[in-house]
Amino acid sequence: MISSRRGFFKNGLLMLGASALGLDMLNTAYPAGVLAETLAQTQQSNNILVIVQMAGGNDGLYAVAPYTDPLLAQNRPTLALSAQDVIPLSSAMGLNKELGALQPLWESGNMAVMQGVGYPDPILSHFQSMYIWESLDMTGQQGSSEYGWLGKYLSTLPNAQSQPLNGIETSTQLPYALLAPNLSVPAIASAANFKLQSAAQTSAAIDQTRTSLLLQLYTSFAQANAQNTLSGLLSSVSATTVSAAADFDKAYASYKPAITYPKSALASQLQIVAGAITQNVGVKVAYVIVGGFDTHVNAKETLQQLYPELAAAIAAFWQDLHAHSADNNVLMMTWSEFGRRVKENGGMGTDHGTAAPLFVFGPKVKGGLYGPDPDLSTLDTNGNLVYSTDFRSVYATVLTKWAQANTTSLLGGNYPLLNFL
Amino acid sequence: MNENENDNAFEPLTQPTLSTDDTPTAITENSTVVSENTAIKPQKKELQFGGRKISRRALLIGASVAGLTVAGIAGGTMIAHDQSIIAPGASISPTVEANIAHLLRRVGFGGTQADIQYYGALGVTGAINQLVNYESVTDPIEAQLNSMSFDFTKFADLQRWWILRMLYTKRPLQEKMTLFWHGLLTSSAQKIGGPQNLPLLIKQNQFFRAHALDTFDNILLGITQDPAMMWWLDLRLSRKNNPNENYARELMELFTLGVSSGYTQDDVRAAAFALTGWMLRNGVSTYLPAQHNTATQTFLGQTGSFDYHDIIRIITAHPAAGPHLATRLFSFFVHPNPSADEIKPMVDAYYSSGHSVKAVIQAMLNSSAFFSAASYRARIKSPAEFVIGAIRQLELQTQGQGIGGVMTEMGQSLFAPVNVAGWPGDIESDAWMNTATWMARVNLLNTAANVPEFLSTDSGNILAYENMTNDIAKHNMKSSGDFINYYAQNFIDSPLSSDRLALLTQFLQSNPYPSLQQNITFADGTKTSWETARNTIYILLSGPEYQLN
Repeated sequence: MISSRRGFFKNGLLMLGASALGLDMLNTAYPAGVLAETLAQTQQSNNILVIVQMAGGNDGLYAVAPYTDPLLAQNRPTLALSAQDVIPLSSAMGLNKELGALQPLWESGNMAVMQGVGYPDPILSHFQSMYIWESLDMTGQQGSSEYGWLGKYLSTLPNAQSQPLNGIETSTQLPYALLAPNLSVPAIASAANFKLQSAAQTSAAIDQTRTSLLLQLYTSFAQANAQNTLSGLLSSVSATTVSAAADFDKAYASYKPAITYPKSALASQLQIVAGAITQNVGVKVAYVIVGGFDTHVNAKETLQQLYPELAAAIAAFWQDLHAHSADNNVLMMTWSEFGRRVKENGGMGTDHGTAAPLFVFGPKVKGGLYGPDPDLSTLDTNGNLVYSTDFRSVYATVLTKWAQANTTSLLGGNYPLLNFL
Repeated sequence: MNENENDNAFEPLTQPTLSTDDTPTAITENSTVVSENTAIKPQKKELQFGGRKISRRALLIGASVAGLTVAGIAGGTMIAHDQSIIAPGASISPTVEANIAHLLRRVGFGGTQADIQYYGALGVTGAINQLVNYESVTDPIEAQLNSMSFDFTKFADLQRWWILRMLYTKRPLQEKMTLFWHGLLTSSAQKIGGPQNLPLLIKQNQFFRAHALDTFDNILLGITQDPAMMWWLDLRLSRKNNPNENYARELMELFTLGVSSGYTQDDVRAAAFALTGWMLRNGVSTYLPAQHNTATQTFLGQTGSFDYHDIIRIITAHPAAGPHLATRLFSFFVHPNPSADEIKPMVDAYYSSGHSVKAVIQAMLNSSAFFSAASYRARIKSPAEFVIGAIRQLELQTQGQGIGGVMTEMGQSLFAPVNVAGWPGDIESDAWMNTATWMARVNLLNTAANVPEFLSTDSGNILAYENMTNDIAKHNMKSSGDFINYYAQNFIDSPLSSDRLALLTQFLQSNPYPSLQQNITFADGTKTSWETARNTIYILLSGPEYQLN
């Protein structure tokens, strides 16, 4: 048996490609997936969730700083913010001015800052900690869980098998969070290139014949080689690509951004998401990723570049959605696999840490600062902060209050709901 | 050959944002700025690498029709490990042919028919021996590249230089191992201190090539003091009394032992102290004993005043080091998630040989697992395997422009891996496959099959009209079925199953693409348009078998 990171693909999705092409390639009903029996169906909802992953471990104490705490400067010769460096969020906490483009969202009450988000027995490995956040498998043993929390959610949508664009992500590397039972969540790394090129000098109808045959070869290969799980993956991906691209390309062609997006990798990704949302392609979950936050050295210099890019891209996204009157049913959440060490190292940077703040944006968010301020006097044995809010409570809040999902079955437990929604 | 005149013709489709001096910007390379032009177009004046065009024609004389009509290896069936040595010039049995094709896809980037003839004549064992003992093979690629001009402060030229090596090397395993090391002991253009430091990545790449099958100790000693690595994981700024933990942690977690091998945060800290002393001065790594922390450390159960030699010595002798390296190699070359039994010969070879990577590779290639049914088509091809393999097998001639960008669209930007853990697909190959990357794969093949500049006969494209009609005549393809199975045999090891052959035959016979230029005539007199014929092969290569390795 050839193992696959993404578990088993049944033939369900093949119907997508078939129906998109008006073919009847597959008559089998959607077989019960690995999780289909254990995950409760989600009600139809128009709410959209946008995830911004800040990969590398964002320095929470540098993003939202306890700028009046003398311990901050004691621990951080070059990375302690003081009053002139921050936009005050409270008498004790301030947002780094490098993130100043977020200030209008904060002031209009559309931004919540969830402090001290983490989990018990924190792990200092990027990849184990990412895996924990994405799979909710708290052992951190990659591979034990085949699916991500958002992938599971997408699989419970009532039109999971017929609407390929329920979920999208914008890189060439599908995040673990979006690995789903019986679904290939579309990766759209470039809006311009997400279309099948046609054979030169021919009509689209002829190319459709070519594409139909191609998909048929994938279907029959998967049926004849069921012992090779890669054949099911290939069949699912090929059918989803053809179907998703047809839907996406048509809609995106009529998208006109209301503002000029800044030039950054994140802004380009958020522009794809904004196009998908404003053109109503049916997106329920969109996922973007921005890297560079692993600031072991010269953190100030690095974040002087990254924070303004991050904030400007997010601000542009919301301006664009607002101008299209498409922001009301959108919620955005950031996350990072961990925060960073309280004490600075000798390279003007910080090593891997634990709890950190995350941001939630949207017109329906109850803006404000949530959770206790970081306590720099009570650290764990590695010199790291102790978390105060379990990230699974944040997920539970979003899934329950925003996505109308059956949270218990998706998260495998009950977690206290928070008040930012 | 003056190739500068065309240098700007095809900028890479994606370039990572290069940081300025001392500005780390990467854990995740995720740039999405992609130009709309995905076509690789050949230059008018092509470099001729090693007379490949001649060898292609020569090889086809040797490819017997009988070899094509005998049933080959069906998907998922056992490949027998045929040890027979066949005298040069003798015809290759189908079994050996399929084994050699499998071997060349795994240890290299896929074989042309000429390659399969050449290595097949050595027999499987002989082929393995020659591939592993590559130092005995003269490789003109270095001299060929030296005669070209590259600007190694340009990211596109870094990629192009390496891609040309992959395309035209005579030492495929050495090149594949270089790619393996780049994915394991990562460094990236994303965090190298700016474009002026990009040549450091070429230096690192040449280190991997020179030491591709050296001992693991020597490779780790070299990479620890490699300037690009010192930029990537910050050892250059790890200070005596207050070190950073970046290199120390990833050295154990990702490079050598694995996250579940039992080391603790205390071991990370101890190693960080022991690894101090390194600086970069004008791009040269320099060890300053006065900057090394000599305090006694306890590291992985041993106590002493350690330096980087000690850390690497202790790590490479650790019981987790052999299994970790063997698992990474097996996942990259054979199939994901090997069992303890499957890697045991490699682990034994590692410890009994003084950590020789060559010994580990030999154990892998000679193990029953390598040619087992469980290994056949058990991985999604990496973008390097897919793109380099397709270009080689289609006999496209190229100076390499644009190929790096195409590979980036497929999820593999050479010299800019996803993050410090490299490419997830190197471990779990299904990570290479999603809608964005599949789209990029089939669109590349559409370009190869339909863009006129590609199809001119002097490009060498196997789908060029002249080449295709020559092959049809030479191999006496009587019918559309012969035609399809000829290319199926060449590209995916075996004729198609009858139902799949019927689908493609129907397509070819229905001739959906009206002839705009020429028709193709088979020996039995039936005709189809050249366009339909080309697009039949597009479908064959875009199909599932060709995505698998």
